[in-house]
Amino acid sequence: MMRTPRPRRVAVRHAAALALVAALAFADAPAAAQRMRELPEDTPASCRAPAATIGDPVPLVRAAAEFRRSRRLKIVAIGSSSTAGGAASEPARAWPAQLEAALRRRLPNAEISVANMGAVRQTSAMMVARFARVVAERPDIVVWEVGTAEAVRHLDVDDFLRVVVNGIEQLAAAGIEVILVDPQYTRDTARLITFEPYLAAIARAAQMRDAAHFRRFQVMRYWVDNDQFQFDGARPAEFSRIADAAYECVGRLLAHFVIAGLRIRP
Amino acid sequence: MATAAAAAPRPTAASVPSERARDLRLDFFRGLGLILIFIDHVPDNPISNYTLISIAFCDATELFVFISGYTAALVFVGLARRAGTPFATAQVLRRCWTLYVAHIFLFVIFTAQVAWTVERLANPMFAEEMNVTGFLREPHIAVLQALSLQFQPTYMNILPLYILLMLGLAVSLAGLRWWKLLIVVGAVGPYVAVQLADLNLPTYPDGHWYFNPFAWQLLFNAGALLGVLFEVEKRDWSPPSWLVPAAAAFVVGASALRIAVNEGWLSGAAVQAIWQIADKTDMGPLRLLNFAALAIVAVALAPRDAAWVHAPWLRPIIVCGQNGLNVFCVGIFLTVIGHALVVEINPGLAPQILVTIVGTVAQIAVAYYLEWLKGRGRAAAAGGGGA
Repeated sequence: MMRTPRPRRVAVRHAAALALVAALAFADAPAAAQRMRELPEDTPASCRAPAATIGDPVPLVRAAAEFRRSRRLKIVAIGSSSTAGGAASEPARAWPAQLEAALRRRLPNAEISVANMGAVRQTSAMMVARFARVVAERPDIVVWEVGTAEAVRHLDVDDFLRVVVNGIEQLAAAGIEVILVDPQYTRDTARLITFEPYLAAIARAAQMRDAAHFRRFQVMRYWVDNDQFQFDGARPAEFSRIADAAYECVGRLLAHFVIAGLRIRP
Repeated sequence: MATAAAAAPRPTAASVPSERARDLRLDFFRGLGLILIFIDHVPDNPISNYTLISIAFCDATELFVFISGYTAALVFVGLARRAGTPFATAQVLRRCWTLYVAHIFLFVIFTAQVAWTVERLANPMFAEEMNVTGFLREPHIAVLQALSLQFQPTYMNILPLYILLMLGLAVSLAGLRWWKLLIVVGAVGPYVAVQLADLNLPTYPDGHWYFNPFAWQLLFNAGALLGVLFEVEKRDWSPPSWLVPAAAAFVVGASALRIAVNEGWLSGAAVQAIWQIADKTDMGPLRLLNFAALAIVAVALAPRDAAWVHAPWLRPIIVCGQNGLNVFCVGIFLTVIGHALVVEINPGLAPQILVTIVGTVAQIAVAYYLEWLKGRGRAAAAGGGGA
């Protein structure tokens, strides 16, 4: 109350100092965390995205141990419409099938299966209600696509966060490791739907329960921004061709992400 | 008090008491809050890394709601003392109406956006996302839900809160003058209830208000109460000597914690525990304390008669604060436009920075325009009988 120390400048300096601390900390953090390797050579140009866009891989400890022992990897993909893949020309071209194909190419001499349990218009709570059937498949990894229905319907973000955290816990209790996949991106939908709080909730849920988070939204945005894909204003004749190509890219990048997680020694 | 000068309150939408009595710090922080809210809402804005959301558990929304309560009390309780509570209540209701019209205006913009995009969204890859157009299939319901503040899609969640807070003020004006304890109980009670139980209003088609009015009213009413005590009743109070250092320590500690959370240095359980008390919808206690500590530090750093509030380069922010309501509405409108532009323009930092600068300048321009109108209105009224 007594001094007049040109407070705005003090505040600016304070903020700048904190920003510097944050920047230094940020520059330092990836050294401790794991980094993604660059994508393999045979990745089609349209699929490419900087490795950092995909997300930070999280060690898939149990799956890796099981894989080293048996050379087997069983994955269940659960999610909503974009997992079910109704937009593809045939079910074998939805991203879970593409993930399986990509993993088989990159991990030859191994027994790999990816089951698709996607179903249209499902909220995360509806998916958790189906987890008993997921667990019954005894997978090593569950790739869980979440957030679209919630963002579209503007559902409570905190409820969503709780459901996702609870879902990860249920799967972890069954010895299953989780990779979260966030919503799809295209300019038309991003303009109408506020995805940001839901993306943040997914990141937070992953952080809280040490799950991996495949940043599909960020990756697809990179594709759109760099003209690798154009989803808006496509002609109906092109719909299934574009969907096949996009799902193939998602499958390839996810395979890269899964392998990164298997390779990390915690 | 300069009541004589403002004895006949002007029936303009922006009627405020005489400017001589006005604490410019309020206008400054209110203007700053408005500009920060806009900056934080430009998607992926790198500049938002330097606003409160990266170094504190509260953000510009708290600042804006608190100062809105403080200013509203200053204006309307002051008005009630001069011209009677019924007239002041009528003026509050008039502001509610302005906000309500702005809300409906945003609904029209949102509907236009959706209708414009619905054809192009035919791509089955986005079948799920297409549900956002669902309200067009039942417009008779959607319109009613928008009119009753229950339809709150993208960016339509702040105005309903503000409308409800102002409606609350219409009810609590008398309480703020004569029964302050009643206001305290009426504000703290619902807040505590929210923290202990699930209490919120529903939205259409499902979900709850993003800004839980039962929780956020506490900040507005706290601001209103302090506004009445310090500005209308001119009470003197100096904080105990330990308060400012304690608040400063809290601010620094909270910053460190926020950075640790953002950088992922904490365990999952710790992060969960922190977010449980820093919830934005229900304005968790950590947010409330963080904001209170920041406010105490800010007031200590910026005494009432500080010379800097008169610095010409801060004038634009102060003018924004003085036309808070309208600048706020313009800010939300610019957010919608800015969001669409950033999505539309190609990648890189340039569009975000461009939209931020243009939007901020537009807010300031509108504020100056309104200020000019007010000045002309006064001159005209003084010159020849008022219109």
